[in-house]
Amino acid sequence: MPLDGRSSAITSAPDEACQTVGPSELSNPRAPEWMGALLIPRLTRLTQLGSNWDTYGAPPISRGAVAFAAELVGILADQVADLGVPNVAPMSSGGVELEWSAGELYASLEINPAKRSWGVAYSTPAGEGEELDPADIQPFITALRELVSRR
Amino acid sequence: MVSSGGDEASASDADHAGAPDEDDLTIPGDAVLWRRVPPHWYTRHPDGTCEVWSAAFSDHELSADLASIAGSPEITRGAYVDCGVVEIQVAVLRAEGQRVRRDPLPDNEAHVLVLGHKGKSLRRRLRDRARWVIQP
Repeated sequence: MPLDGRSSAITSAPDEACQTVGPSELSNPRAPEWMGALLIPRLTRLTQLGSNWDTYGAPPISRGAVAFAAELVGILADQVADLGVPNVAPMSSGGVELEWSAGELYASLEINPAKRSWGVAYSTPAGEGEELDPADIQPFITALRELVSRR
Repeated sequence: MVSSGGDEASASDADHAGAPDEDDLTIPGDAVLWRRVPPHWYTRHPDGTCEVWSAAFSDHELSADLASIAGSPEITRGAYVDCGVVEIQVAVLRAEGQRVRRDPLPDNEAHVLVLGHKGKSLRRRLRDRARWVIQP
């Protein structure tokens, strides 16, 4: 499934112009309740981290990356029933990582601080996959569905 | 991630180690590295144990301290009292294709960089091999 061309109410606005990430900005109007209740607050907290939050000189977390992360999860939640809230981690690059897991299976999104740059990594019973700026996220969605089915 | 400081001793080591991005074989495989883990990268479970996240091992140039020079994980933790400190053996990193290079800083002679791409599966393996020496 190509990502380009899908609706995106959350735009990749410059960081300085994107002060908050709220449920009203989600691209998916049918977004599950956990997005507004759990995910968005977790993502928003990341934008409050200052420089050197990792104690090794990391820059602040990109607000654009946070907004894009919310947008991507909105799209995924529309494709994967019972997706559930992911683990949310700041990255030393200034990006954001979202991870779902079930036992040894995992599926993660890494959103880079550069404008709308991202990658996926996942495991399935058949093996692991990893791709930067994927043109087709269907393998990732398939991995997510497998993961969710094993919860 | 951070610029190198350097002194006579480290310059000598670098001579033995070769190019800056090469593995410094003057650091033995059984050497131990210590790395701080801030609160954003661990989960504290109800039983009091803490679980480090794989995101703590993502940098292409991952900062850590050479334990033999730092002397104590408390030195590595320093003033960051809400951080934990994990340890991992150099041989584990090399077995995963990573390179270890000395990168002494003006205020931290023990500083090293673990160089190399760290994809998600590798980050998870490093997470699994790391052990708390100071649990937060």
